[in-house]
Amino acid sequence: MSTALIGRGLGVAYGTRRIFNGLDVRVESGCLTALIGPNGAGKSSLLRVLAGVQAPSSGVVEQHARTAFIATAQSLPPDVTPAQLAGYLVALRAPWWRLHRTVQERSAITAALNQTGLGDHADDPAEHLSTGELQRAWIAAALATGAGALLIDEPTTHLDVRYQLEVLRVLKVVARAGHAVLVAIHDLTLAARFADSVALLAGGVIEVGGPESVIKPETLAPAFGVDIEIQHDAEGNIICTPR
Amino acid sequence: MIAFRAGSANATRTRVWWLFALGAVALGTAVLSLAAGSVLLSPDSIVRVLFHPSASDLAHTLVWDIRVPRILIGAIVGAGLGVAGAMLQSMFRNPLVDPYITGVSAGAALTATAAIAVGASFVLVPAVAFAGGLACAAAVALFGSGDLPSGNLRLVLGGIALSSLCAALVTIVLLRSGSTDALTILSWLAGGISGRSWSDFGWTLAYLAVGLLLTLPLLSSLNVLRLGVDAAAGFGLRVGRARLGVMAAAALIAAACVAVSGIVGFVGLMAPHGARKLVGGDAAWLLPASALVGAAVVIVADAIARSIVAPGELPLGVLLAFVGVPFFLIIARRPVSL
Repeated sequence: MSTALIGRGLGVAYGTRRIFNGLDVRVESGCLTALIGPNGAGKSSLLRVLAGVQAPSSGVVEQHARTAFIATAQSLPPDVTPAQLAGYLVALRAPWWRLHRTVQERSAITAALNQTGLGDHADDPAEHLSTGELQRAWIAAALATGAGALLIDEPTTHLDVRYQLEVLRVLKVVARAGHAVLVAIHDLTLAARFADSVALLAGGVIEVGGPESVIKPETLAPAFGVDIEIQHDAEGNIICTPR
Repeated sequence: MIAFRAGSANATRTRVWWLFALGAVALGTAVLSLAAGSVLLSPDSIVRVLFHPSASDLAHTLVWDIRVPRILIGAIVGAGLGVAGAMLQSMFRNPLVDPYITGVSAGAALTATAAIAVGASFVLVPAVAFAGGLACAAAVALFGSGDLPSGNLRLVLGGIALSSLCAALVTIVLLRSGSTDALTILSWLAGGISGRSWSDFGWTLAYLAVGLLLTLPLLSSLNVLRLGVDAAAGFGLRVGRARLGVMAAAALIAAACVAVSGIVGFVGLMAPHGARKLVGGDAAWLLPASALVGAAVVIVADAIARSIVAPGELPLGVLLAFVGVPFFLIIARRPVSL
């Protein structure tokens, strides 16, 4: 397993308000990592800093893979299709004078759309897509660009249960294919079920480990300020219930 | 399962046909507008003059020395404003944006006015106008930066405020210049292409060509900027650099238009909306379609402006304001997608 992203001594502050400082983070390829934590802990800021979208107040980020960042509930202009979206983003790396995509680029776009289950909706305008399909369109676009690391802020926001599962299954497949996937997520049960590793960011400190070692009452209660009961279903999946 | 199927091929074919149709409309309006003006020309005389350019009579002078350069200037001004408007709307993701609203036109007008008042060569006026237009666009963009709806609102408010400031400064320049200069500047500011010559067409085309060439490498950036600043930055676009490039190209194009025609508002607002309905928002299609719609709009508007109160003329900017203001108000009330 190789490391796609390394953050060393990362700090973010907005004015005099320090969100976190001195964080060391590694994002591994082939691994779906869930970034959990209370609101305001800096999950979005950390993703943006790792993606290079936002400059950190301190520290450095080493990107060992091409990185794509998808913001919370990233919308699309209503006329843009998933195939066009991928095409636009692929074109960013192509010479400007080439208006048409090459066979390889078209193949990459087709493969990414099929991998995310959007092959049949490739030419549907965004206004005809569900929120879950829109989310998958962005993931497909990221894959088509050859991104090795996908940083996604709350990919399950505004999705019903079915689409939440659908998106996370797609991300799991993407991670299994060798990509580094880091998602900020609020649903602790889903995080425990789908993530290979969990990073808990709270109070300016990050704790990383397997789902069983991070998602437990004694780590979650001080982080979220509520008691959280942990149970296991028949298949051994973790179920988190706030008390 | 394949992604590139008949759907996208059909869409491409449809867009090509729309471009041909818009080109035909622009050409048709150009030919028809040869007849319009204080002296009406019959179709026979127009055809005769066009196919015998060496003849020397009144119709020949009217067509070749006055109306053809005027129509060509109208076409490139309309095309330029259409392209600049489409670029700015895509970049700011704001349907209410055009060179006029973003302060590009006002900034260009201010510095161009100052240049004319100090007796600068007309060939240099577009370059000076470009500097003013770019400075205003940058100031407005800085004020309206951000991807939130409030950013868009700030952008429009900033543009209006800066345009007002530029208008006030133009008034000061006018008051301090001689009466002859003031009259020249005032009639130029009202917007119009009356009395423009082949040489005006030549240098305007040169400036526009540079602006349009600068636009070509920006097409893919424009398409990604339309997705939002977060998305653009998240996929590796250097947003600041791309926005500066778009603003510089749009400011140069708009400044060249302002220099030759004064402030012709609303074309940069209306043309992209019409074009977007026909070919969609992809910059590679939207920009040429906006150019053709803008060209047709200005050619028609100029033909009406020089006919409606013949033998006098209505300033083009005044005529377009009568159409553009209701259009602006309708757009402001409706949710318009980009």
